[in-house]
Amino acid sequence: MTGSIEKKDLVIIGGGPAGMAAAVEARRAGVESVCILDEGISLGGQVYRRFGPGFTVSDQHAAGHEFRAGQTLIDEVMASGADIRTSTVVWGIWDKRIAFVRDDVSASTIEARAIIIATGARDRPVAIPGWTLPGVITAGAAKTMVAIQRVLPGRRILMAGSGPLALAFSAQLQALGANIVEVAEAAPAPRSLSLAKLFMEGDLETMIDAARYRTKLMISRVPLSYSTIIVRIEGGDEVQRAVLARVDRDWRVVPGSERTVEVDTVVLGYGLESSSELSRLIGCKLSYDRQRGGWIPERDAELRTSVPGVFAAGDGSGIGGAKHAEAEGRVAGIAAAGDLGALGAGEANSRIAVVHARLMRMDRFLTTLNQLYLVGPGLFELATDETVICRCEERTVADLDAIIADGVRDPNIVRALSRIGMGRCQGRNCASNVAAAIARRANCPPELVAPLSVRPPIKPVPVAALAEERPQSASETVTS
Amino acid sequence: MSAPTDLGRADVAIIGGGLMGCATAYYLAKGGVDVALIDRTEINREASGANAGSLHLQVYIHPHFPDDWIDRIRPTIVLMREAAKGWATIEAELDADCGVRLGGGVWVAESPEEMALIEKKVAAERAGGVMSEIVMSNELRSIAPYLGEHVIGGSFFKGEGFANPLLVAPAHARAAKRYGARFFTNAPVTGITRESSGGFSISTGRAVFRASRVVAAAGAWTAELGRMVGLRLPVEGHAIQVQVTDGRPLVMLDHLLQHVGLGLTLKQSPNGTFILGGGWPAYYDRQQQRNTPLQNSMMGNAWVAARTVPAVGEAQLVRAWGGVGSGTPDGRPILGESSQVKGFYVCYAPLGFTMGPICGRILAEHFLTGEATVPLAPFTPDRFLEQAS
Repeated sequence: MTGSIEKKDLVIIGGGPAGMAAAVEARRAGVESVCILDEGISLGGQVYRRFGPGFTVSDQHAAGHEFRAGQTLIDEVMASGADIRTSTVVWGIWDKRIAFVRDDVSASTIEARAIIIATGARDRPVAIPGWTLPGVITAGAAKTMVAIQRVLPGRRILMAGSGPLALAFSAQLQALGANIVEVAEAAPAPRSLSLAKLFMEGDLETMIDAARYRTKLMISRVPLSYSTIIVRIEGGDEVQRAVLARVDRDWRVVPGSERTVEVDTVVLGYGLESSSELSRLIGCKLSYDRQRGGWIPERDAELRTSVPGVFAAGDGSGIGGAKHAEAEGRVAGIAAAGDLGALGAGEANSRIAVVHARLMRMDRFLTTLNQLYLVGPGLFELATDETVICRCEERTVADLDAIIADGVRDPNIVRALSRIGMGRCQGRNCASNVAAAIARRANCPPELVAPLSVRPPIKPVPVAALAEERPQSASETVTS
Repeated sequence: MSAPTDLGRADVAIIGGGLMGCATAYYLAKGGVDVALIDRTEINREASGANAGSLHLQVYIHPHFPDDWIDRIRPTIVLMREAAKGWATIEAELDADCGVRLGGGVWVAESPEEMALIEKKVAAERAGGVMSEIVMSNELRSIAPYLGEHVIGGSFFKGEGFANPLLVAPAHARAAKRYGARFFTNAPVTGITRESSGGFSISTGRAVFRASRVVAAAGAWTAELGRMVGLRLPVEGHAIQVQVTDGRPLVMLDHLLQHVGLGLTLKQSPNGTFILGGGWPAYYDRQQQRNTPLQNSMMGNAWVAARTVPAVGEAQLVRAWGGVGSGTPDGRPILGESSQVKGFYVCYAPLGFTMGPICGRILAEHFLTGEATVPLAPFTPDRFLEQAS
């Protein structure tokens, strides 16, 4: 009843840096049929996102180096012979059968011999008082608005977050004409020893980027406050002001240090979370990595998950940034080609070895970087009883606390009892905050809190698209 | 949580924290009985909490059921009549929101053959005191203007509707606790043995619990409990699925809608989401140890729903899950004490979400007074003994 099922050697889910690089390598290795499925209207993912319809790029340089790096990879993958399907939402996987809807109207199924999950990351949701006010957006959304749609999110912008991305976003926003009133970085100012270590381990380009962003901000006289967190956001129908405070090393507020800034827009950029829903859906063995995006699939050196024939690459299996994702994509693409028999084991290994060397250097760099910007537990203690924790079902911290106080320690039971995590986002905007609340109450590390279970559809999908065809024998499938 | 070796004792131990067990605990505790409920995980974690919330107060039937199905289940219709009364007053009884909406129940048919089955169903229902009515095309459309073009007629019963599965069993549990019932969760029962004193010793993962009498209220797992005391209780479970859309303008008038031929239960919750069910099969994912929706079922269920109520076709599917359905060979509940194992009671019903509260109440009545509003004879666990010999 699902129509004719197409067959492909390799299906790659996600057309960001990891997915594109995987496709390029798999095709180069001679895999016959390679297919990329991506939700976006064009390839690129979050970082290498293209301009929307109606935009023409007349000056590649002015579009930024991320744009150019993305374009190189996009050109490669377009020339690779891979079957590229954009505006395509994968809503479920059963064994190696991938169910998806294209352009919101047509449902199809592909049966793959191997799958690479390259679904990327999203902004970490941070439930602080006022975070649901209009005028509060995540760093990723702000970047898309400004860099891709060329729309400024507001007139007076506060950037509150942590990590090099927060800094980079701020500089990019500022360069594109946004008025950034202040950048509040929760981590302390990096000491020269840490910076030296970063220079030793980092690739030069990344460090030059970081220095450039900082200089840009300094030149534009944007105040950059370290050890400073956003405590709450205030306003009637929209953002009117934000309260900042100094924090200790655990990101806990130093009493008496609160101050108010008048802004109409707050950009929250407290790091990223892996979009690992597909890995979780198909039952990959998971592990919890606080620094790399939460629950992520366990993988071997060639990026195979615990489910045979399924690989995971890029930020969806551990945050590492676009270049890291691209390198992982190459490893997964080559390894999949090897497993599919397109490449001899020796050749596959030597191709992987080249990328591995690069990846290892990046991993060392990431470890140091993550230690500098490790998310402090104080971030999860800013919410008050009235703070909305589940936006879809409009449930507050008090609703959650009542259930945790009853002894519930499993987010899946929290969901059943309170509807927290049950709505349209299926927990994407609340699961990490719920887990943090449980961990705090149970006085245990967050990895001891079970992940929210995932079921199809993993993304909302039009009923009409699924209801296209009459089932073969509906009545016979019904049981009493 | 330190694990005592002796969990304690009670006059009655109820095994199973679904709606059936929680309702039994409530009515027994309210009647002054010293009662304890034991569950292997937490309450409301299986069928009672994972069904679509339909209150099946008309006979549940489809063309592929055995020809004599209505005769088999006929004694249950009286129980359904009582269940309908109970659902109308349950929130007042428990002083709790259970999400009960009784806008009426619509069964629809697309062909004369399907219509004939509905006519047979309605005749049996009316004989048993469930006053459903046959309604043909125009009249049906005035009752249910949301119906699509393929429907030719059906039946309507005013007392039908739906409730919220996430609320009903917990509401019973809370009310039971107010009357002193005790709840032991995360205590999987591994064995039940008869003590020389005549009572039962119940082994759980945590410890041993002792009770003078035992009520098996384990839904699809009833057969397992039966085996522990040497009884054949032929309840079979299977995985079924439910799907929910995003919120849409309210069109369904708090109705429960069912399609006799194609397999559909459909309702719209007060927040506008459509809830799609109808017994479409899910599968048990051994690795993840849970029931999981199937692609074909999701698509088939969506097809039937959008065909029957076109407004559903404009919605987006947001979530789905696998639940548990179960049944007996004769389609009837199993209620009452075993004559072979004195003191061992069974409280089980197919469509257990609908029948849970009434079964709990009837069993408690029988327990407290030796009689019940509805005669228990057709539901005795002993009927399977005779078949076995």
